[in-house]
Amino acid sequence: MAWLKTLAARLRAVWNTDAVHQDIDQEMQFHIRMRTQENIERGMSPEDARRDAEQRFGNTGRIKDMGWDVRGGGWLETLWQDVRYGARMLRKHPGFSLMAILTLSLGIGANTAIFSIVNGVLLRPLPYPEPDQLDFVFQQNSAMNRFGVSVADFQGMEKEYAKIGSVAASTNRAVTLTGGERPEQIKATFVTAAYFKILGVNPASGRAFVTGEDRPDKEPVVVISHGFWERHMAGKTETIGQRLTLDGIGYTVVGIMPQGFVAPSTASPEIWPILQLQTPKRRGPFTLRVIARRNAGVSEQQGQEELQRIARGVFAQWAHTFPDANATYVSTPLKQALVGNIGTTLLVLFGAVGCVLLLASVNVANLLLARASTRQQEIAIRAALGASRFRLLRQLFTESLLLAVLGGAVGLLLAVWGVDMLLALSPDNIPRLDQVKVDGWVMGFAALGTFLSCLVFGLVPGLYSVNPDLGEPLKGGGRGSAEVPGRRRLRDLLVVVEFALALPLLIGAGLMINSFMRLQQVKPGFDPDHLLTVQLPLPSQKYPEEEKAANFHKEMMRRVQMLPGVSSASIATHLPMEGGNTNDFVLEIRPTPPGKSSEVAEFTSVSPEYFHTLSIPLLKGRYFTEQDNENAPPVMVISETMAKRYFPGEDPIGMRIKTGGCEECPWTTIVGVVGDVKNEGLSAEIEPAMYCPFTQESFGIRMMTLILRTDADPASLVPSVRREVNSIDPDLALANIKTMDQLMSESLGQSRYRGVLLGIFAIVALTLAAVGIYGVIAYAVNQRTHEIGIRIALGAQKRDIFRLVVWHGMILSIIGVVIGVGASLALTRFLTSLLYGVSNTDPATFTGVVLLLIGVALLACSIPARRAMRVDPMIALRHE
Amino acid sequence: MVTKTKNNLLQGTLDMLVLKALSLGPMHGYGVGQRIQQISDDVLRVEEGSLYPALYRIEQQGWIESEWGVSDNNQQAKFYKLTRKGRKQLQVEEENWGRLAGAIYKVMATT
Repeated sequence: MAWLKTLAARLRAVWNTDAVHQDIDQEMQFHIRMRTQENIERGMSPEDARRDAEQRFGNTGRIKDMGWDVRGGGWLETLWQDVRYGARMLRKHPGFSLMAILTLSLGIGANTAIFSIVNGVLLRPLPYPEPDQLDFVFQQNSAMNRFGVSVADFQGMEKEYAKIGSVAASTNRAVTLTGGERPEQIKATFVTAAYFKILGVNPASGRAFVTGEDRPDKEPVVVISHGFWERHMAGKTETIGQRLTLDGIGYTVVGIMPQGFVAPSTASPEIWPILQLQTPKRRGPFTLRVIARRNAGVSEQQGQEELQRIARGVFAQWAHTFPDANATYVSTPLKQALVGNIGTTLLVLFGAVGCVLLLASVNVANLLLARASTRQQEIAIRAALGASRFRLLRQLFTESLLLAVLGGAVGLLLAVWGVDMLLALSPDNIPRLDQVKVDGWVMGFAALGTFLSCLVFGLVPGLYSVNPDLGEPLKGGGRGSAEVPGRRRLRDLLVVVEFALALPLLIGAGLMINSFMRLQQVKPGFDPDHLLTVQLPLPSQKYPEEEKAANFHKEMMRRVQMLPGVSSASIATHLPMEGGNTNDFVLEIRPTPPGKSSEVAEFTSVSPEYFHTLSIPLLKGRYFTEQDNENAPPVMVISETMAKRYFPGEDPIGMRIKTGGCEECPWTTIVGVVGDVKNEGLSAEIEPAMYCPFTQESFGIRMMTLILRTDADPASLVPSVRREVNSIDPDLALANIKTMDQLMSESLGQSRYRGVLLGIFAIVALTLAAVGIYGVIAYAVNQRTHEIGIRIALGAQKRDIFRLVVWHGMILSIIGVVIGVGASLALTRFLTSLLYGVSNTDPATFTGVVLLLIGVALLACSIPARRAMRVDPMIALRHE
Repeated sequence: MVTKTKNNLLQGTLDMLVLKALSLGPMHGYGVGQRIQQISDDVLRVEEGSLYPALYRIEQQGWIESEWGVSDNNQQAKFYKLTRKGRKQLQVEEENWGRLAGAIYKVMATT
């Protein structure tokens, strides 16, 4: 701990400089007195004695210095001196300081804000013990097509996977909670017994599910979240053992999860009722999500192989209901599955802000470099007085560090504010956003960013400033002397770098904005204006027969239709933009060859009014009518793409089809072809789609969404709709109340997010580049005033001067732009998956951005060029 | 900034002499110099320019402590005193020195 003591002593010395100096001085005086006395005793004259005593000390100043070196503040003191000196310099040039600090804080702030998101979403490990052993298990029959598993799959898996780990199934579903003031929709994830054991998180009070509790004959139990407990049970301790009525079934609360527990899903469920699985009759529908924990030491690869082995067994067993030779089970690490494609977006943004920080640093380097020229004389004098190169460099670097720390501090404030803004801007479907916060890691990152930027902008000009050649600046007297050529080249280089950095950013933003605009212009295939959508989940307890559910819907639609302001009402299992179910099908005229997987298309049950409510055009045949009911022969309407893909050159009307691998079902006749609808979201490819009357295809009948076309503001109808629904069934709650405009806007969410953020960063980059080139050209004009004066005196036209100055800037920006275009061509490849309707080398975007950047450069250069034109040769020459 | 020009052997030796001198009892800087000179029969004369930096350095190491007091001739003087750590250090240095001196003697004694 000796160094600590030393540090303390040095700190004391810095604090109390005078006391230490005095101490040393007094001690020395004592020594001299003693020596003098001794000399006198030896017979010297008092004067000689004194002189001898003093001479023995040699240069007293030097000894004092040595004493100070050991006992004083040492390096700490030098640092303190430098900091004070630096602060004085910054105060003396407030414009420069403010500019530099603001520039840096923008760069550091943007980086820190994005980093805190990247950290929360991508870097922070999942909040479960040994998260690397956790996988999601899907079913896959082609590289692009992944889907959940069925009860049959899961039960087969559960038995076999036990050798290397354990699996649990879950399914997200909203449930209606009754027994409170009014029925309420609660987001729930139904899970099998092993779920919490697999995650490795135990309830804070009560217990998790126990093995066997997920059998259908067992008592229904539920685990609730901390938030739900606080909101609905008023945080009371005697909650365990209470009953909750969910969809009309009584569930006993057995556990409360700890505060801050996050389920591995974007659905953010509030409760986890037990999922009790019946023994299935066929393999399908594929609605379960499976999560697996491999035992310690079992690798991902081994898990994958085991799953494929299990798949072969299960698939063979159920081959008669779902023959698909290509399908198998695949596992994805849990985190990867959760984060999904948002990773690319975040990394692109991270790259972009990295560029912004570099640009900011380069700009500050430029500012410092310009100032270094005016400080040449000061530095030369200090060097002449004996300051070593290292000492000078250290002082300059301390000044830079001071700037960086101030910029970093302001940047951190900006980041705290920026994170809130980013979170507010971000679409709901970004996973793990609740993990985002400004913590130690983020602070550390800000500090690192500060230090690195300081290295960039502090060291380069610093090294150039401590030029050992003292003669020139001293002789020149700091007036009108031509600049050191090396430094001018460096400054020019920095401008080139700035333009090369700004261009890819602008191109990225341009491509994103371009995609976003194209997405907005995408025709969704229906008219999204004035549409209200409300989900109406019917508890199976209360509506055990599908017929009863169907009757409810019919009655409900009849009443809602009569509400003032409603022009059309219908129901559907899925809404456009939200994505929905798919179903496999076989054509009567072209049976699927054995061993081949059957074709798959989107599958929606609708009421006859549906196409009319959404204004989906009829292309051929007819829409459904009320007569297409459960007693009539089954009918189907297909989309244009489906017609073109599976009935090329044929008339699909009257063709017959079977769906869902149901061999014994009767054939369904195609009666109409309607326009394509963007069912999976605006950016998704159009897929073939099938529609059935909800009276004939009862799948999902308890999870229908009511769609209303209204004359007035759609949201204003919600109370009257609720009244009508509750007049039929007072226990029903409305869920997911949204206008179609909202749904459309959510579908554009990520694209807008990327466009807005990259746009902001690009504007910052453009501004920085413009300021950078302006600064350099203005400075050059200033330095060349004399030369320009001579040129004018010798007869140069104003136009020539203008061209001379602007040309200098243009050359720099064009070189930068050329390099930037090269870099962009290499970099935009990473954007491909985020673009819609634009190629990553879109010539229009590239040309536009290049022109924009050169235009801005031209503008920035023309200001100093104008000043150069106005140079009065008399004044410029007299100045010398 | 002053760099250390003396080599470590000599500097270490001076430190050891100072410690030894102070092991005989607390003393001010002047006295330390005198004491070394007297004991060595005027062979070792410690320069003021080396003495004080050495004292400050040793104090920083925690081997000696200082305190202002009154000298024999009734003057304010700064007295240095060996600490327990310093006593241990002196022991270590004495052993090292003994070994080194012995080794040098052996080398020089070969004929």
